[in-house]
Amino acid sequence: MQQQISSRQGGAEIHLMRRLIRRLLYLLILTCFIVLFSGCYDASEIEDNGYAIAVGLDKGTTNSVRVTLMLAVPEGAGKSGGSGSGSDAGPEGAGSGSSSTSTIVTVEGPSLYGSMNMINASISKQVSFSHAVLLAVSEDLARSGDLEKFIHGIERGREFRPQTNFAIVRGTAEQYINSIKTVLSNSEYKHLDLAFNTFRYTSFSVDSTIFSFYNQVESTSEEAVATLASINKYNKSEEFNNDSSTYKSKSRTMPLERDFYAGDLPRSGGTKDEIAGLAAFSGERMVGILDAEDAAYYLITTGKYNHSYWNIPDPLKKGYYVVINIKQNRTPRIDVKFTGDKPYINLNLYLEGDFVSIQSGINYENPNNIGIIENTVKTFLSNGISNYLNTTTKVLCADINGFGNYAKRNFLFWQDWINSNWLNKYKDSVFKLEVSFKVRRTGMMVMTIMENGK
Amino acid sequence: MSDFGSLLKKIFIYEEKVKDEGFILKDKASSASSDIDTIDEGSDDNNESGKNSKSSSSMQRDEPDPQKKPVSIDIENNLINIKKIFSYPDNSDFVIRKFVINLNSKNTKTFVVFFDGLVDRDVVDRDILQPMMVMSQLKDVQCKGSPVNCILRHLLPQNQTKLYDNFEETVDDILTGSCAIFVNGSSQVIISDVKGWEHRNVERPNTEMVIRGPQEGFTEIVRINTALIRKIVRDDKLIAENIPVGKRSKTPCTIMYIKDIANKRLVDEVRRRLKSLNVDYVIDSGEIEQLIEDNTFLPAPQVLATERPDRVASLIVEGRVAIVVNGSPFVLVVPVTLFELLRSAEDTYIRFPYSNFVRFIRLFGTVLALILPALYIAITTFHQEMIPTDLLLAIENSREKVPFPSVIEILIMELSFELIREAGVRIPTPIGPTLGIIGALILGQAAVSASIVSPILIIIVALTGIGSFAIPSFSLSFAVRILRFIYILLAALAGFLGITAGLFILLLWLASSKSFGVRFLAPIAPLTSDDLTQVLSRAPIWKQEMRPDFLNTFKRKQQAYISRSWINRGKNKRVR
Amino acid sequence: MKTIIKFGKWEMSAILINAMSTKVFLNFPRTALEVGGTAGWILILYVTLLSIIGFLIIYMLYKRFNGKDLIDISEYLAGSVGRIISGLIIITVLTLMIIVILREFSEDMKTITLISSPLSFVMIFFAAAMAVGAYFGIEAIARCHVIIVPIIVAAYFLIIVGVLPQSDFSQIFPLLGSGTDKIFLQGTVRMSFFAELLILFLLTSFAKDNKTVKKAGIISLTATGLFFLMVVIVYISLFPYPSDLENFLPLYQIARLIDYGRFLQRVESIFVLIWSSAAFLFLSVSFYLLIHIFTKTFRIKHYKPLILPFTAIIYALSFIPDGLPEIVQIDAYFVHKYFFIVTFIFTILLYAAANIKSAGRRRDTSDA
Repeated sequence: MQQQISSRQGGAEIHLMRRLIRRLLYLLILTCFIVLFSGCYDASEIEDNGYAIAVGLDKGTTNSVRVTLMLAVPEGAGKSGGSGSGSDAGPEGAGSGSSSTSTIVTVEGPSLYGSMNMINASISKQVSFSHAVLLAVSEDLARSGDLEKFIHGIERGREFRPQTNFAIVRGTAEQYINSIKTVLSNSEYKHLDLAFNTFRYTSFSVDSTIFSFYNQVESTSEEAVATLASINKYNKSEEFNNDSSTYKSKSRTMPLERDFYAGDLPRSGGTKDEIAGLAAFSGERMVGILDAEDAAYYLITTGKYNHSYWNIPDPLKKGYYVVINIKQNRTPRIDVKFTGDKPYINLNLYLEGDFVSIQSGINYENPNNIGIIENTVKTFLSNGISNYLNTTTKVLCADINGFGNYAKRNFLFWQDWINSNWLNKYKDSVFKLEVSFKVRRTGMMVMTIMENGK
Repeated sequence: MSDFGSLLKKIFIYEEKVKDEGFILKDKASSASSDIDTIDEGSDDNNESGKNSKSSSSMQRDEPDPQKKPVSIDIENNLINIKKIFSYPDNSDFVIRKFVINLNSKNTKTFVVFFDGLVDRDVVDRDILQPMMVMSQLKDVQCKGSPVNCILRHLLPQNQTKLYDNFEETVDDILTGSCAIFVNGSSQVIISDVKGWEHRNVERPNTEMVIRGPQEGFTEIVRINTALIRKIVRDDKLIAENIPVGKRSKTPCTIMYIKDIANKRLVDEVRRRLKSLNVDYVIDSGEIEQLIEDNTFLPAPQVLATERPDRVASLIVEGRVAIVVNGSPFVLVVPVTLFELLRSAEDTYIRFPYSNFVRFIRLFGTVLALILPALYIAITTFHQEMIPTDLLLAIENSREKVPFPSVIEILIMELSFELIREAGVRIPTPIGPTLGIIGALILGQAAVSASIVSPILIIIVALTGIGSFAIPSFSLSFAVRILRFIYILLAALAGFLGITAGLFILLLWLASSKSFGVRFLAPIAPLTSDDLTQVLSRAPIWKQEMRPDFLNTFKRKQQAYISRSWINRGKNKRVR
Repeated sequence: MKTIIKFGKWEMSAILINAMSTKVFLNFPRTALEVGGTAGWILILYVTLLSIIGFLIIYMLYKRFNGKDLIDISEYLAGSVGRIISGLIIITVLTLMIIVILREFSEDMKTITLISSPLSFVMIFFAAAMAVGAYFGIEAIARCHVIIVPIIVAAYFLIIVGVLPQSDFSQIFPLLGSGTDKIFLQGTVRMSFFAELLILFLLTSFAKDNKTVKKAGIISLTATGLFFLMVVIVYISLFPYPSDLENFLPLYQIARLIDYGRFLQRVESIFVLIWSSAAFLFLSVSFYLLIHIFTKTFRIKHYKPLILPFTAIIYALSFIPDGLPEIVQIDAYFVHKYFFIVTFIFTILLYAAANIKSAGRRRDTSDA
C-alpha cells in the first residue's frame, strides 16, 4: 500500500513537471513567433514600390551624372490633389512630360545609386529597377569614356535584369525619355519592349542588352556595339529632306531605306522616338556611329540576322527596284589565320530570299532570269559588306564583329592569346569575302504580265 | 528529501524513452510464433460513465454482480435476476412475456425476454410464441431429457438458436437483438436470434461519387457490410473475424482479409491492437481509427476510411486488412500509404489515358490547395521581379486602394472561406452547397467592391478551395487545409526560403512515419521495387502483374505475364 | 549502436550526389576557371578521373571490412586511441564543411532575396531544418534525398538547357587555357572538389552490402563529374573569360539569363527553392553524421540530447568569419583545396594499415 501511494505521488509529480515544461515551451515558441513576426524584414508590398521602366544617363552640368527615370504610375494614383499627377522635381533639372501611366523624374548626382537616393527622398515610393526595360546613355557620356564608372555598378546590382535593352542616344537621354509616348500600346513598358525587338524583322538595329554589352566591353576578342536611338527631328511631312542621309557617300542617286541614322528618318506622326543604326565602341569609349545598312551587315556577318526586306536597284531598268525578303540560309563560316603579323579573315556568307515586289515587271521569276537577280544581289551585298568591313578596320579600328573569337582557335594557351594583342592588330586585317545568294520563292505570283497583256 | 532528490534527477538526467521500433512488416514465410499479446486487463480510473448503465453499478458494490450468476433451475430466481439486471420496469422497451407450455403433459412455466425495437416482432410472434404456446397444446410432446432440449428439438422452428448457462452471455445476446427463453426446470436458457432492428437500406455512397463503377455504399449494420464485401470477393479464403471492441458497448467489429494473400503478421498486429483497446464505448469507426493509428499528430491519416464496397474489395485482394465497425458506414483499411490516399475508386475502372490525366489533375489540385496562397504571398512581397511587368502593373493598380497588407488580406479571405464551408455543412441539404458557393462569391464580390481585398485574391482563394475539393480522401483534405495556414505564415516570414523549409520538414515527418509497419511514403521511399507504376502514373491494366511490394504478401503475382490471352491469335495457339 | 536500417544504392547515391554537388550552387565554377582558365573543363575531367581511381583503391582496401565505417576500422587498427584520433579528425572536417555551407548559403540568400534581413534570421531557417533532420534520423533523411534529389537534378538540367540558345561555345578556345602545369600539377589538389566522398565511408554501416557501396561510389562520382563538366562549359560559353571570374554565384547568373519572350523571364527565384533544398539536405545529413560520429567516438549512448547543443554551437561558430569574402576564402582555398588529404590520403593509409594488420593476424591464426 505504501509503495502504491508513493508511486502515485511520483506519477503526479511527473505530470506536474511535464505540464510545467510544456507551458514553458509554449511560451518560448510564442515569444519566438512574436519576435519573428515583428519585422518581416524584407517583405515589401507591390504597391509600396515605384517601378522604373526606363533609365537615362547624361553628362551632368552640376555633378557627375544626370539620371532620368520614367516611373510607372498605377491607375488609381494621383486623382485627388490638384494639377500635375505626381510629377516631382529633384534638386536640379525639370521633370515634365507625364502621361496618365508614367511620370518622369530627373536628378543630378555623383552616381546612379546616389541619384536614386535623392529620388527616393522625394517621391513616396521606393524605386525598384527590377522591371526596367531600357537603359539609355547619351552620346556625350559614351564618347567621354566615363561610362566605365557606371557600367560596373549596373552589373553588380542584382536589380537590373541582364536582358534590359541598352541604347546610345544621339542627343540627351533626358529628352529621349521624355519623348516616349504610348500610341499603339497601353503602357510605356510594352511600347519600349516591342520597339527594341523590331530589329528582328527590320534589321535596322541590333539586340544589345546590358548583359551582352558588358560582356563585349570586357572581352579580349571583340568590341562592343549598342543600339542607336534618337528623337525624330521632323514635325510635319513638309520638312522632310535628305541632307543628313548617307546615300551620297555610297554613290547612290536616291537614298535607300537604310541610309539614315536614328533621328533622321523622314517620317512624321506616331511617336517621336526612333531606333536605327549602331554605336561602335572601343573598350568602353564610343568611337563612331554606323547607319542602319551597316547595322544590317553587322547582323549578317555575326550570324544574328533574321530576315528583312531589301530594295535592290533593278539591273535592267534604272529607277526601279526589286524588293526581296532576304533570310539567312545558314550561319556564316568564318576563318581567321595569321600571315605573319596580319590577320587574314575568310568570310563565307549564305543567304537566300523571296521576291516581294518586282516594280519593273520584268519576268525575273523565270529560272533563266533568276541568275540575273542573284548576281545583282550578290554584288550589291558584297560591296556593302566590304565597305562596312573597311569602316570597321580603317575608321573605327574596332573589331565589333567578334572575329577575335575565331582567331582564338589559333592559340593553345591563354597567355599566348593575350600576348598577341588581337584588338590592336585588327586594323591591319585583310578580308576575303564570299556571298552566296539564292532566290527560293517568288511570292504569290509566278510571273508578271504587264498591262495590256504584253 | 528523497522526493526532492528524485525531482532533481528527473530534471538533470536524461532518460531515453525506450524506443520500440514499432511494428515492422517482415517478409513472408514466418511460421514463427504469433505476436498476440495477452489482453490487457489493467483497470483504469475512467470507468465512471454518465451513460445509462444497464447493470446498475451501484449494485456492484453492494452485492455480487447479478450477471455473474449462473442460470438457476428455478424460473422465479431467473425472473428476479433478469428484472434486476435490466432495471425492469424502468426500462420501458424491455419486454417480459410469461406463458405456459405443455411439456411431457405438464404445464411448464416459461417466459421470453427481449428488447422491443431490436427484434423482429413478427418472427417472435410467429416462430417462437406461437409454436410454443399453441402447438404444444395441440400435440402433446413427450420426450426425455431436459425441457430445453425438448423444446429445441420439437417445438422451436427458429433457425438460429444457442444454449447458454450463464447470465453474462445471455445479456450480451439480448442486447444485440436476440430473445431469451427461460424454461422452468432447466438450468439453460435458449437464445434465439431474431434481429430485426430498423436500419437504412443500401444506398449510393454519400461521399465518394464515381461515374463509372458500382453505386452501392455501406450501411451501418456490420453483417450487411461484410455481405457486400463477400459478394464481390467470392473467395473461399476470405476470412471475416469477429472482434468486439469496447468494454461496455461491445461494438461488433469484423476484420476481413484473404488468408493466403495477406501477411500473417499484419493480421496479427491488427487483431492485437483491436483486442487491446481498453475503452468503455466505441460509437463510430472514426474513434477506432484514432485509437489504433500509429501517430496521432501526423497531419495525414494513416488509415483509409471508405464507403464503397468495391474499393474495400480491391484493397483486400492486394493484401490489406479491412475493419468493419458496427454502426458506421465507413470501413477502415490498413495499411495505407500516402499515394493510396490520393487515389479515387475510379482509377482502375477507367481507361489508361483518362486515368493518368485525372491523376495528374488531382495531384495538381492537391499541390495548389497546399501552397498556392503561400506562393502568392512569397512572390508578391519578396520576389516581385518574377512577375511579368504587365501583370505587376495590373496588380499594383488593383491593390492601390486596399488598406491591408497582402498577408492580412489572404488570412481574412481564407478564414472566411473556411467559415463558409463549415457553415454550409449545417444548412439543410437542398440549398446547402449552393448557398455555400453563392455566399462565397457574393462575399468575395462585395469585399472587392468595398476595396477590402483585391480581385486577384478572390481568384487565388477560389482556386485553393477548388483544389482542396479535388482531394479524394476527406481526412487528407482536412490536413491540407490546416497546413495551408502554416505555409502562409512561413511565406510571409521569408518568402521562398520559408516555404522550402516548411516543405522539407513536412517531407521528413512523412518519410519517418509508418502505417501499420509500412513506411508512409512507400514505394518511393524506400525504393522497394523497381515497379513504380502505381505511384505517379498508372500502367495499363495488363501490365500490373505484381501486388505492391511493401505489403509483403504471400503471393506476389496477381496476373499472369500475358493476362490477355485473346491476343494470341495464332493458328496453332488455341485460346482456352 | 546496432542498426537495422539498410540503404540501397539509390539512396546512398542520392546522398552523395547531393553532398558533392551543393558546391555547384555556390562558387564552384568560378574556382575551377580560376585554376584552369578556359580549360577548366579539362581540369574537371582530370580530377574526376583521379577521384574515381582513388575511390576504387579505397574500396579494394575496404572490401575486407564489410559493414564497418571509418571509426570502426581505426578502432580495429589502434584501439581507443585510434578511434578517438580519427574521430576528432572527422569531427573537425565535418564541422568545417557544415559551417562553410551554412554560412555561405545564408549569405547568398541574403544577397539574392532577403537583403535587409539580419543574418541570424536567415541562418535560423537552415539551422532549424538541420536540427529537425537530425531529430528524425538518417532513415527519414535518406528517403527525402531519394525524393528531392531527382527534382534538383531535373531543375539543373532545365537551367542548362534553357540558356543554350544564348551560349557561344567558341569561348572555350584557347583549348589549354592557363597551361598544362597549372592544370595538371597544381590542379591535382583540386581532388578536394570531391572531398564529401568521406560521407560514403561513414555511411558504410548502413549499406546493404559491399556491392552497394561500390555502385554508390561510382554512380555518384560519375554523375557529379558530369554535372561539374556541364556547368563549367556552359558558364564559359556564356560569360567570356576573364570576366566570368567576377561573378560570385555563377549558376544564379546563368539562371537569370533565361529569356523566352515576355513571359518566361526572370525565373531565377524559382531556383531559389531548389538550391535551398539542396542545402537543407546536405546540412541534415552531415549534421546527423557529425553527432553520430561524436557519439560513436566517445561511446555516448544517446544522441538525441546532443542535437540542440550542437546546433547552437555550430550556429555560433558560423558567425566567426566576418563576411562573404572571408567565407569564400575558407571555402575555395582551404576546404576545397586541402581536404583531399583527409578524404583520400588519410583514408587510404588507414585502410592499408588495417589491411596489413588483419593479414598479419590471419597469418598468425592460420599458423597456429
